[in-house]
Amino acid sequence: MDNKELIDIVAKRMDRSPRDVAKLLEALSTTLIEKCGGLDIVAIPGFGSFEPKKKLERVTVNPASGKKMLIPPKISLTFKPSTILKSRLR
Amino acid sequence: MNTKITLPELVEALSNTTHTTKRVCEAFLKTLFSTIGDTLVAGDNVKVKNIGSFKLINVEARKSVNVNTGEEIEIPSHAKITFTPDKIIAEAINRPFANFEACVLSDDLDEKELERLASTETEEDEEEEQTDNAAPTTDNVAPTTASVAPIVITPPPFNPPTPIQNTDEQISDTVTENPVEKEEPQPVEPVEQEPIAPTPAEIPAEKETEQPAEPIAPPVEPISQPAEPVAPPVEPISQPVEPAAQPIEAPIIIPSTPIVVPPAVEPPAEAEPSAQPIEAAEPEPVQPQEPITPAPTPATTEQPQPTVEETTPEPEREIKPGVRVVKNTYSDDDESAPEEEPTRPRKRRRFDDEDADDRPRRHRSPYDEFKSTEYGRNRHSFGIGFVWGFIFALVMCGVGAYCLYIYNKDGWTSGNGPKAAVADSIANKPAVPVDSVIGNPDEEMDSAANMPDDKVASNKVVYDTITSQKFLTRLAGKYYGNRVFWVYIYEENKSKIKNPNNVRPGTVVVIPSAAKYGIDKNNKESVAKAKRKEAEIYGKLQ
Repeated sequence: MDNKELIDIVAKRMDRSPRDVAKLLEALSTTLIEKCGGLDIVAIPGFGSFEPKKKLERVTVNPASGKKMLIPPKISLTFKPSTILKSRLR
Repeated sequence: MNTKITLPELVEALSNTTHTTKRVCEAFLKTLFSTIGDTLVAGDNVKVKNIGSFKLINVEARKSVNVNTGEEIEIPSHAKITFTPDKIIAEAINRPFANFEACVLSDDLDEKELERLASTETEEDEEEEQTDNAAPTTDNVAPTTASVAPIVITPPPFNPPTPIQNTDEQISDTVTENPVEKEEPQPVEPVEQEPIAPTPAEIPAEKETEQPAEPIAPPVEPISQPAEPVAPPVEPISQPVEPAAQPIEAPIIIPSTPIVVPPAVEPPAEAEPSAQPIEAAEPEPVQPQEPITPAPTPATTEQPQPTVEETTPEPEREIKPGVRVVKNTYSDDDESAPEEEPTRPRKRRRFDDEDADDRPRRHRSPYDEFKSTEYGRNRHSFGIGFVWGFIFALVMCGVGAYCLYIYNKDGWTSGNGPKAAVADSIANKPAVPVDSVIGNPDEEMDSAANMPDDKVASNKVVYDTITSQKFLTRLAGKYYGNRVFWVYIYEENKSKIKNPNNVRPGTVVVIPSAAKYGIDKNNKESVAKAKRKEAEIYGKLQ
């Protein structure tokens, strides 16, 4: 399911125009960036939580060239599904 | 920062940015995520623009262990959600570290770093291992001392024969040369014995303090013997007694001062007291040395006799004061008069006994006969036979006990030589097998005592005790040179050790020989194999 289909379904369920839903979705992404950019955890009940995580720098070896690379530290966004969602998946 | 933003807060933030009511925002969020959840549960992937994609991954069933009960359980196959953030959101979140870039590390720098790390690690290991070795070596030596001690004592009585022979046949000058050569083998033994052996057990109570004096004492006895009996029949032999005493004194000096000073002033004084403890010790058949000490006495007494008959080349004996010397003399005697030999040693012995006043008087009469007839050829009496038989029995006991000891230890590996010697020898020969038995393992024992590592290299079974300071890894480091090899010690002692991380102190473990498991600290494969095994063992534990 891609973005368009999702918007359609959500619009149907909310009885609202897909354009409104698209706007809201875009606003949601900006809010997420804003909150997660501040290293806050965004938790949505019944679905899961978006957690930005710091990852330390590390040395890896390129298997093709055999060269050693120093990978810089970074913050990556991870998603942790809630137990409800997990149990539903099972 | 690091605070948890819940749905109401998110709704508020959303309504602020979109300028819509909170109700709409809340409804929107709820329907949006429930929809995503539904589709995921339905088994479909969801891609949300500017946020990311949720994907389902099937995880296959696998076996695991219940942490609490230890039971094996099977985790059934299930789907797992993975979230891949959209590029926009990922970059936005990673903005603080965006200026970093992955860079290639130069090889030189990295190697140096690794070397530095490795060296510091190895140094620490070595230090620890050294401290380890200091204590356990004494442990290892302890069992061997028991065997070393009886052996060391025998060679000294064995040595005098050669000086006496020389004095008989050659001028006193050659005698002075002899002791110099003798020193080489002799000092080694007493010196090694001192640090290693807590010999006091074997040393007669009188002489506990002087360890080197003890092993030397035996030679005095045989010499004092020939001095007296031989003197009456042949005049020139009275001379040899003095030079014979010289070599004895020389070994006494050796331990304290390496310089050889053979002044013949003191010998008689030393000879007398030293002879006493030995004679006193003889009656006790408990210690293994005693059967051995009588053995050399016939050997020594034999040798003075050849003075008359024998004119064999001396240098050989001077150089090799080992088993061969006695053998040679014996073979010479054999050729000349195989019958005579039994009589002579016996009579000397009896004379010895007279001094001690330990033996019954009746022995005197044959001795007197012997004295009057110079050499009592063919005058074997029952008493002589009895004494000789007794001596022989003692010697055989000693040989048997020692062979048993060797067998228990190496399974006849070193006992083969002595066996052959015994087969060759005739009744009179016990001195030869005894010495040969003792000569060979003596060196082995010494070397084994000095180098516990070599012990492990050979196929001997080594035991060690676990203590609070000395556990499997340390033992492995000590015996194999690398701690990784503890797995093999654990493998060998699985019945005793349940958890290798928690071994009860005092547990005696068998250290398997390095060859058994192909342990080689210099071989990377061997180390890697041990590491794999280590992981396996830990895997089983958890």
